[in-house]
Amino acid sequence: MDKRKIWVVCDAFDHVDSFTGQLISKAYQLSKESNGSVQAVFIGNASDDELKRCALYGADEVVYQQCETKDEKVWLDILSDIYSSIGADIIMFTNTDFSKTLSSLFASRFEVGLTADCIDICFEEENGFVFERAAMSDSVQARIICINSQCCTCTVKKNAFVETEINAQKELNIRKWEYTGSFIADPAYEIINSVKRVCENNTDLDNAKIVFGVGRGVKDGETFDMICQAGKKYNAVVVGTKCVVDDGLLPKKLQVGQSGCSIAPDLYIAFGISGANQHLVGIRNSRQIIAVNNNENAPIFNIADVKIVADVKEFMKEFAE
Amino acid sequence: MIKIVVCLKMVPGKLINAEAGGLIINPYDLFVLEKLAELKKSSDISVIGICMGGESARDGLIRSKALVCDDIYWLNDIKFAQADTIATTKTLTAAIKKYIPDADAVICGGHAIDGETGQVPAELSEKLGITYFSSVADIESFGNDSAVIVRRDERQEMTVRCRYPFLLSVDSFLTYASNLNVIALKRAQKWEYKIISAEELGIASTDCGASGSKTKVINSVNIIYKKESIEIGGSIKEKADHVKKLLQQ
Ligand SMILES: Cc1cc2nc3c(=O)[nH]c(=O)nc-3n(C[C@H](O)[C@H](O)[C@H](O)COP(=O)(O)OP(=O)(O)OC[C@H]3O[C@@H](n4cnc5c(N)ncnc54)[C@H](O)[C@@H]3O)c2cc1C
Repeated sequence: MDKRKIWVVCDAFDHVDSFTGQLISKAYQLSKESNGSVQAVFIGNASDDELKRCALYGADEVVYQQCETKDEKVWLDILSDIYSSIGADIIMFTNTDFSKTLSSLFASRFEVGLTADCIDICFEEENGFVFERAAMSDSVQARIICINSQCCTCTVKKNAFVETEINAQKELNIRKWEYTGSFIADPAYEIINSVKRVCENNTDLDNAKIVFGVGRGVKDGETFDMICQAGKKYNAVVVGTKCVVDDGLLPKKLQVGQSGCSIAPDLYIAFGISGANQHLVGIRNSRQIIAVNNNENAPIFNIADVKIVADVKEFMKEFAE
Repeated sequence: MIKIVVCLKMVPGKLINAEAGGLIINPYDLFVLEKLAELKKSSDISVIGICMGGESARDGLIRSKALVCDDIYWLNDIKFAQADTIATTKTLTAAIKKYIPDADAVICGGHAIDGETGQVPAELSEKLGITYFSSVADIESFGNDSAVIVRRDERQEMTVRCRYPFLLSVDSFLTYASNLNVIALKRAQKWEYKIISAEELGIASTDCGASGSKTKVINSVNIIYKKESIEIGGSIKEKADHVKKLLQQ
């Protein structure tokens, strides 16, 4: 049988970034489980030396299309061209805004299955590729397969996989694609005005050592302020559950969990967080978890190393002393 | 008259309010409805809602009608149930092509708070063959051949004029409808909601619902492993001091 084709679509345009590295690392692992080969599809503008870095993580081949624009529609046509010609069994995309759009357009065009924001992928003889993501119910992960679908596609959450360099020296084939279609983006719009946004928050969540998580149990501004103050004191980044973000207390990029980001600090303190699965998947790689909750049966205590049954407000008053 | 289609999804109310039962309008869709209600006062637009959902969607549809919708197509058939994004997209596409082929704009909430995939808007634009605008933060005005919208991402905010036809994916949300008035609501309750079946839509059962889906949930697993936790007892002060000590390490 032919080897299964495992694609990783690289979207960093001019380099192989760490998110791409994470995907190629996972693809390499899947290739061993499923007798496959890893193809990195690179659209953009990068040197051969840069492309060769894909081999560090286990890619067998890079399919490279030189392209000066980063436009979803143009990329869709290029990707479609490559796919129609060489085919793939599974295609992995990052879950950046750009790739979320690109993967949706692609899945719709070819009517193939697409699973969003996977946190794990495995290969099983009887099911083929299986994708894991949060389920609608609170305490479990759904395992999803593609059916009646020519190939399986997915977007992957950042930090779901670990970027790992392989030991072996791999022979990498760079295949230069010659796309003959148009590189011109659809000019169906005109920019009237554009302002750069100042990044209000430059916190480096990926590398934070201490993180404080705020949940709906933090009921008033005063308690929230005390947590932020303590955060400053201990050099901790303050993040929140989806409920807190939806209420507008914290910006979306500080949401942790299935539909937010994943973190892996040395210490995570959960204040007034119930511990829904969708939140836990974002914090499960934390080295130590402390939970403060007034309900002694709150599910968050199941994965906490240190359990503190207390009212958050009362606790913070003492803690802030 | 500019024809605008709004895709509506009803989601469990408990996702917003732990005590709430039943289904509510997805907050991202609610933002769109309120925005259109506001713009309708000053521009010549007609708003047509499309919703795929069962009987439990009725209350949300009544609210949508009361807020702004001139017309509503309710795709309600057991055959539509358990659709993944591909089957949903095909069903919505069939309805738009059949009933509102001359739509100038299609507007979707950026994602539904229950599924959280955010894939349908882009998928729908591809099937309809119209321009796609993601990350829309606001809609400013509708003109004769184009609309002015605001797009926002981490790096920039852009005001752009886009030519019809197009599809917008809107990233702003509202959890509470502030413009809902009682008289409009009463009138909307009496309105007759057209229920459209798969047969009437003319879509094959292999193109919609579970059989039209390209993904399938095979089972669910628990991937969160229980830990042995140490409970800290004593007074509040003792508890706080314990955590302080851990932080200082
Ligand atoms: C598809 C999907 C994706 C999702 N993605 C995410 C995600 O990315 N991130 C996320 O966080 N959630 C996500 N959710 C939502 C998730 O299911 C939960 O609803 C959410 O995490 C709960 O937030 P919470 O713990 O803040 O609130 P609640 O569940 O309301 O919990 C509040 C907790 O505070 C405690 N409490 C109340 N008062 C006090 C007090 N005075 N002192 C101490 N404790 C108190 C309560 O005992 C309770 O345990 C998603 C849901 C779905 C369906």
